[in-house]
Amino acid sequence: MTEPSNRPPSPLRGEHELGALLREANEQYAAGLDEASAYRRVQEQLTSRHARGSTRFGARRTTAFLGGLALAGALVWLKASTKLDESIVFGPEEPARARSAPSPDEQALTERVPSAEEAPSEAATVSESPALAPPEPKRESVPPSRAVTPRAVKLPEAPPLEVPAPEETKTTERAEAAEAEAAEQPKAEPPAPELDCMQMARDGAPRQAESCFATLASGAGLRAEMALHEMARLRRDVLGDARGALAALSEYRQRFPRGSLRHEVALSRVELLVRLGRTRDALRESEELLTSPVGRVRAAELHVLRGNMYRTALSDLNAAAAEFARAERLGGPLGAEATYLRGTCLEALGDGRAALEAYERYLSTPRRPRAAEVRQRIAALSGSARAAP
Amino acid sequence: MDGMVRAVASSLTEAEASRQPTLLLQCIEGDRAAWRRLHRQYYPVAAAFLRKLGLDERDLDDACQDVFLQMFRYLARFRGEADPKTWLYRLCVTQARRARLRHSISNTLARLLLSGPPETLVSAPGFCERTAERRITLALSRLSEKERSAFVLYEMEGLPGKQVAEILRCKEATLWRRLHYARQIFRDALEASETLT
Repeated sequence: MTEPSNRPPSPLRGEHELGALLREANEQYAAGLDEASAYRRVQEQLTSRHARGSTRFGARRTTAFLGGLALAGALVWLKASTKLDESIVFGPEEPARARSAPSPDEQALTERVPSAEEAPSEAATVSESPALAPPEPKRESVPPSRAVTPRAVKLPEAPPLEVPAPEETKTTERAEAAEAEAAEQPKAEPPAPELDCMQMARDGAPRQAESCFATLASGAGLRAEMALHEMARLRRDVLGDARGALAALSEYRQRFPRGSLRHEVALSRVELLVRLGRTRDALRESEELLTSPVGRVRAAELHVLRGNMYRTALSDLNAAAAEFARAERLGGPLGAEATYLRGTCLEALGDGRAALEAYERYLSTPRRPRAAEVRQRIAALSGSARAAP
Repeated sequence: MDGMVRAVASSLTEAEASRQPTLLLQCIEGDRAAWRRLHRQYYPVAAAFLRKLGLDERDLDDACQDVFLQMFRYLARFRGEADPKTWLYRLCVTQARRARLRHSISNTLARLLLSGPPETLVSAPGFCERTAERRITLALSRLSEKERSAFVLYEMEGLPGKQVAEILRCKEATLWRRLHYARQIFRDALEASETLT
């Protein structure tokens, strides 16, 4: 069934501006993908699952089963501890009945271990495809006689238990005990008012917001991570304090080396190092960043950034041209810019032929804002080539 | 351009389509080189599609892994009876939904634990110039999950309506309705972003 004719026209299938925007976005979405690394990770996952002999689905079922078992045990214990009106003895002939809280020895003896038959079949969920399916692991089946069950254990008779006080009395006693305990302790301070640091920044009080973030950052966990990261952004974007922003990010990296925001912090660090003129540090950290998932996504931009650092700060045109070549290969929206910049480096290095090729490639790209300048460069290079003996 | 990453293909070429059954059969038979070719062919499609569905870059790797683990695990069930690309898109839609659910849970926990709703924390490096992608992503974020999936599959992946309906497991009439609303919202969001910039 094709699209009904009374529907609005499809933007992508037309030649107007929106269609062009969607097509350009499509290219950008597809840029910076490292397929080879992704395949290695898939292989590692399959290999590690094969070595463990289990799959995520099998592990989930196991977890759910053990969780249910623990919950059932807790409910039984809770019920037994509140209903103390009969004494119960486990024996080989009698079925297990509700009993009082068992002694540690009894508890250890009666703790059930799920037998092999009860454990979810792990090998059954291993890949059904014969291509990467590991051979079904041979599991030793535990003979039933080795499984520890309450029936198999003979326990000494438990002494008769006293009938407990009614629950109401117990509740009153507990309440009185709690009150007495509370009276002995110093009064707890009321909780601190909620800190909304972002609102302070929005209200035009960036210094207050900075102090607020610093307070939160002195804590721990995700809250502190987020506060440090936000503090760095505030210093960079609002307070114009690049050094202070970098200091906050350095503190983040030191305190939370495996933090949730470590990749974003790494990106921000590179930008700040460039801004502060610390070229060598920026090059080193951007090289490390290129090996991370976020770095691979932004690889084209990082290579262009590195190329510009080599070109402008270090005057290393060979290294710059190499970085621009890498960015050019990755394509995307910076592909044309990388081609142009590579051309300028080659031209400066005296390789006119290669520079001309780069400039010609640039002119063949769909978007070429520097077209006029590039044509002038081509004309100049061509003229020089003709004039040369 | 040598070595340039290709844009996502909106449909298989006739040559690729004719080679698909052979490639799949080789994969099913355990040919590792065939698995490699399969991954190389479909990974850019899956990854770009997941990005369009709004997956965060942090989740992209995991989601892509899960998609291909599923694919490798259950490819034997295909045996060329269905279009593997339809299945691939369906796996991606499922993984995107799971990632959204995980984010929803973690955001809820963060709201409970922190002083307020979590702000946008990921800073935008100044040197990023993926302008078109950002604009489209912003506009797409205004769509519901179902509208976004329909819009991306039809408008951006260029799939025919019947295939999109099959992937999303809905009727074609439902698809056209979702597309109608999605286009309106998308256009409005795009125009609004132009006004602000």
